[in-house]
Amino acid sequence: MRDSVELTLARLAFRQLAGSRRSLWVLALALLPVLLSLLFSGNPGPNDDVTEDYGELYQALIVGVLLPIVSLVVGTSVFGAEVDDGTITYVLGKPVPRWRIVLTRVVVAGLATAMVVAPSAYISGVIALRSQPSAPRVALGMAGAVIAGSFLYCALFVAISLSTRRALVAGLAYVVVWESSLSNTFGGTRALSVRQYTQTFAQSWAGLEASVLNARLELGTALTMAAVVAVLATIHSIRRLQRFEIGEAV
Amino acid sequence: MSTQTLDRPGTGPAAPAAAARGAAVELRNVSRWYGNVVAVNDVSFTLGPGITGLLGPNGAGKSTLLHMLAGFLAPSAGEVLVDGRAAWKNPEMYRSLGLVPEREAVYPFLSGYEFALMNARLHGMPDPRQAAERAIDIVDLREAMHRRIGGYSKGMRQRAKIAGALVHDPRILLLDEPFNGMDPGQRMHMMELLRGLADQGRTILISSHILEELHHLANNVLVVVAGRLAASGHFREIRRLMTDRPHTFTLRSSDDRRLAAVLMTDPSVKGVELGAGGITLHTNERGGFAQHLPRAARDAGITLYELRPTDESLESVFSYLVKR
Repeated sequence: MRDSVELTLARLAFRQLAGSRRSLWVLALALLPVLLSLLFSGNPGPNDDVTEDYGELYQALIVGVLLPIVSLVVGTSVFGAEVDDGTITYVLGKPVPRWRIVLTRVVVAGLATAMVVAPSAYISGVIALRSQPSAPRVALGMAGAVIAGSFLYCALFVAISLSTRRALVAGLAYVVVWESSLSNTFGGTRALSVRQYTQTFAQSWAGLEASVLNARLELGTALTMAAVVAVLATIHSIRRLQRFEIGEAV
Repeated sequence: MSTQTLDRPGTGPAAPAAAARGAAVELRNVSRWYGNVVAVNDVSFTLGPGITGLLGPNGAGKSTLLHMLAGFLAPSAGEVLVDGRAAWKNPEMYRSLGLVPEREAVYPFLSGYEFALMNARLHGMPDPRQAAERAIDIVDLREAMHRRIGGYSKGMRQRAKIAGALVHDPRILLLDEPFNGMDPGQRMHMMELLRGLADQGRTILISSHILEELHHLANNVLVVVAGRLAASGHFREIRRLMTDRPHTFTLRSSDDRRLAAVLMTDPSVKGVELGAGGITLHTNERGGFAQHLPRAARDAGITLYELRPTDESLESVFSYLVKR
């Protein structure tokens, strides 16, 4: 078991992620929601609905910024860092089917992202909602939603990182232009937005009223579309890696 | 531009066994282009057991050739076969192939042993620990095997890379510029190591841009220039081709005009031009001319100020080989 190809690949990817300087920034970013919930739950306004307040923090900061940024950093570096320094040859120069390499790395990236974002969502939720009896359930549902979001975003960003050398820019464009700006203007883009899936999951799993989070998809639609996006992105990654060329462009 | 093939005495006693199994490595009319730029142009060769040198100036297409052999680049035309199987999109071929890339970066957070172990596990070796230790012993890295690669010297790092490439006991070994950045001691050690691996019947291809690096190491040398196979043959033949070519020198002395007249009488001198910057001189025999020049100058009472070869760049040496 210890010698399995998947575990070896996963250990290598984890150690690379843990050793990179980006990880420190990511961890610092994850502390932000916790600090903010500590701050504003300390002195709630007279007429504030804490659930709604926390819903805004969750939606704007955790799902809107933390989740996509951490996924982007992690998802683009599970292959990107090795492609940049050439060490990818040590993984690709092995008799290992490419789909096993891709699946392992997507899972590692998703796990690593979830390990940062989910505790941040859960802890900040428990702190912000501590006056509410439903706090544990709400926080758990919201943390569960970002775990699903972590894997979805990472599948997407791994696919992007294997498709273009400017993965960071392309990923950022997807998050900022497609998910934020266009989703607000054109409703149709929501069906193809990991952010919308995550908000829909959160609303449903946390048992919140529809007004708290801006989730505009049916749970069934979100689940189906999320599965389609994850599968298509992963298939695309596998096909890209099978044809992945390493060499200097003359 | 013609490809000249010299005799190949370097196949040695292991040749019959190799012939029975087919050539370890075979390129058939392989070309590779990037957009409009042709990096490798219609190259064909086969490799059998022993060490072969892949020689050429930087940018000649050596790396592109090696990357195609390693299955990391698709040939634009032709076939690249490793152990009889296409190298491109065929991860299974890595079972008989070991790679030592040129890029220096190795996971710095791993120890040499962990790196070898990782390679052995990814190769699916039945006993990866034993395979890793065996490879560490082959490259003589046991003392440093538990230290992080990040703290290794260049030579040790290179040996760790070779250990990683040897864990599955591959029949074929590709090394891209393995001597880059090594000091003479490390170089000697590496050469011994490679000779030992070749004596076990392995097919080894080493790329280099310096001919002398392949001395005492590669019997057979392939010369690549501007994407083409310019020459192939025994190391000594290639070196003779490179030294017995026309040489051009620039000379300055206390009396250029008289020195030019004196040198014209020397049979090793093919031509002399007198110009404002001194004498430009052509010879076909560098050795003979080098002996003759100081004596002739002294006898004529002329002081030599400067003697400079004008075309010693590697590119001109190689382009001479191509024009032949």
